[in-house]
Amino acid sequence: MDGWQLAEFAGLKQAAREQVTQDAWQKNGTLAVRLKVDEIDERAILAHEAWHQDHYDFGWDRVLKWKTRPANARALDIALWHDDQLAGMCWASPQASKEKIMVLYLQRNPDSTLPTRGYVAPLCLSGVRYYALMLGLQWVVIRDPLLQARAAYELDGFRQVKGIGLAYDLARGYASHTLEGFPNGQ
Amino acid sequence: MVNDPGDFNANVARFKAIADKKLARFRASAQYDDFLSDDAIDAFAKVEGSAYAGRPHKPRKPSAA
Repeated sequence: MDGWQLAEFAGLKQAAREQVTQDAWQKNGTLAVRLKVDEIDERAILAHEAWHQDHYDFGWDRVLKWKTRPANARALDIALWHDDQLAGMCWASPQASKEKIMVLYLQRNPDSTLPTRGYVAPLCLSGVRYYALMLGLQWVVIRDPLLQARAAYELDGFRQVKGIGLAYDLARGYASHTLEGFPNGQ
Repeated sequence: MVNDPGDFNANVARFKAIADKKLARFRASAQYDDFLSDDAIDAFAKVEGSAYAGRPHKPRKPSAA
């Protein structure tokens, strides 16, 4: 992978994250003014270590190393901030696929008093969808979805697709003709 | 091949600008469905666990009593 392709992926990721900010503004200005959508960096990992303990440990600290690997150049990382508090994180990657992007990890801050509680998943999924559209992919797939969250995913249009999993179909009539131009980074 | 960081950043900005325009068209399309519906936000808020997707890396160490 050359610098040109890396620049392309970096530009697409920035654009996807910025659209998430616009989503937030469109939905809830009071929340959006305090929200920041960023990449997962050392600051996010440090903030994550201050989260209340709960059942889940995804080893988020590994993301910093993953991001340095060429094999993960197409992966998208999102850190959502509410003021100075890390509200949630997401790691999604097409891996070797030319059809799917997998949401591998998606987690909100376990502090349920944060006003971002219900927003983290829809905002991150929206960012993944924007990014996947620009890569010319067809599916956003939730890898290892929390059973209890399935109904919520379905409200956002995710369906159990045979042979694929819990997935959102990006080919809903708009993707193919409005977003051509970024065919898998070529 | 892009070696100069200035060139790299300029190319990132260029690709982002193209993507911004395409995504603006997407958002304006009649078929665009917003993930941030009240129902979806409410449903995700009601999920008790903090993790919506992913396989745990390792079990949490029990906190000291």
